[in-house]
Amino acid sequence: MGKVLIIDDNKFNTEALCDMVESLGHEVTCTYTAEEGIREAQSHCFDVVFLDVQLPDGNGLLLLPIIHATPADPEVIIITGFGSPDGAELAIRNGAWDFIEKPLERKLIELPLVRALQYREAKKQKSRPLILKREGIVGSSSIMGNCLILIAQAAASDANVLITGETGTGKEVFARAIHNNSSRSAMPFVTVDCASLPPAIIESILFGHEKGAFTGADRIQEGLVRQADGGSLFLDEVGDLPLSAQKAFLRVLQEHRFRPLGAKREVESEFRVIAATNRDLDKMVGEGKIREDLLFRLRAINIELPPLRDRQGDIKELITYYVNKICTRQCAEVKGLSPEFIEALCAYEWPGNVRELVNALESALAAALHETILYPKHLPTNIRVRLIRGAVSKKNDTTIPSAKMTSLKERRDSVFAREERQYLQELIAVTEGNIREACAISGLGRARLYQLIKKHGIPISD
Amino acid sequence: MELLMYSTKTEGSGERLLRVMGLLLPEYKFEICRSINELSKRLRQPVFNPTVAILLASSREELQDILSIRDLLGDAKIILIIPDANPDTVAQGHTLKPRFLTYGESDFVDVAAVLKRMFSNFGADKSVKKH
Repeated sequence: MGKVLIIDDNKFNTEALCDMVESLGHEVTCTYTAEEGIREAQSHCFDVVFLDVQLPDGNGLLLLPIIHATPADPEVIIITGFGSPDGAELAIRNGAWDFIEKPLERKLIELPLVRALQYREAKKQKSRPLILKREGIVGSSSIMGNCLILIAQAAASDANVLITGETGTGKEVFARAIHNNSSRSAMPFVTVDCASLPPAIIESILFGHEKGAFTGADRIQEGLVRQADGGSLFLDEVGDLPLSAQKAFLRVLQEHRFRPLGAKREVESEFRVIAATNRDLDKMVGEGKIREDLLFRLRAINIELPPLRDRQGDIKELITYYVNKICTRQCAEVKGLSPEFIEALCAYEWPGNVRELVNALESALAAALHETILYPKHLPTNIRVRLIRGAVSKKNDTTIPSAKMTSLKERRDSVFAREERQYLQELIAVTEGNIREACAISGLGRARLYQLIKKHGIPISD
Repeated sequence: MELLMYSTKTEGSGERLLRVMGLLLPEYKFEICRSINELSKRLRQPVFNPTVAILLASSREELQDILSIRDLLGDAKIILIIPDANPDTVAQGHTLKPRFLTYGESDFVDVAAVLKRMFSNFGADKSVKKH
């Protein structure tokens, strides 16, 4: 049952409309002026408002924004005895649900009212808090929040999903999250690696075959499509699916029935498809490499995963999550993170996305084998080089447009000295000036360490 | 590209798998783990992320052993060989997210073909990254 407000100065019309709406099972409030109507709309929650244009104290169309600004934000159906194309356009532009000309008849008002109420119901469902098992999806940035909402919506529906995004953004993790949060979670999640399956055998792998269906088919084999019955079929790198297999697969998608190679009878499989790719499938359609009808079917819901550089706010959270995970896997004590380490990782662009970040953390943890805190020096050289080059070129661009060039040796010595000094400062800070500990960490002898501390003038507090 | 193979069997399907790999993919070297402890220990070592892991479960118990250490397999592309085509065994196999799944009674020519394609994709990826 919906709550409906009528704002119309014509009492006869209002009563007739009220009877019609009540006979459809809804609760109705009637008002006869703009002022009265606004007061009601602001003090009660209505789902739909029938609004007359010509009111004794103002133009109804001008009330539209005020009604939409009320907490319930009801859908507004304009009713008028003096319909004009301009008025209708103005109403729609101001967010009206529909524009109906008087005299009002039940058949005229019934459908717009029912649709408006259905829309309201769907909107309420969407705005309910979503409960989602994250399944290894890390991040709380707004961009990631939007992705999680889409994941939850995809999990709640049974429509096919296409996940797109650069390499390393975690398309498979998201695909599993959709499956694990769906009503199919107890059934199989079957992966089809379209890029790795040789074209010659892909159809037999997908649809299975009978004994003797082709040379080498020495026994019956069930295909992946059948194995996904009741669950989800994950088509990874779907852009690599050969055209011949696309045609056969399209039919399976439409009918959920197929004939294994060499079989006389068709078999059924009731599955949902989640596909993923890092390629531009629209472009591939233009090139004739992907069937448009297949893409249309696969893309009922499209989730575009952001590259890591677009959600830098998540990097700290990702670092903490993966450092813990890697250390636990290696049965090692969890290492601390220096602010400089985090800063360096946040400054990097991550062309390989989360996968590259995880690999960098693995390397850093290995490089800091017996150390308890991670510093930028533990990062892979290629990342450090890119960072330092980026920082230097930025500096040159802004402050030293015509820096004096030196010999390579001088440049090397200068960089070396700067890094050495930085390292010693960090070493003394971490060990709180404990020389024995500093020697143990750095691998330097006591005399050499003192010599370097003196050279760089680094203070040691007692 | 690091290749890891898990096979406790030195005869039957285990021997056949090695023979076919040696015959069809002679240019690639596989590191072989012969027990679940050895596999687990190897996967826990720092900076060891095999690109492809071929896991041969010659019995349902062995499949359970593999499932018990699934978290250690990380991002490795898994080629899984399961002992039988029983729907429960197949369903359990799929929980490992294999990129290719076949059976112990296979001639493993399919495994070699999939591996070859993975290698060639891996090479293509590398050359793209270099540019």
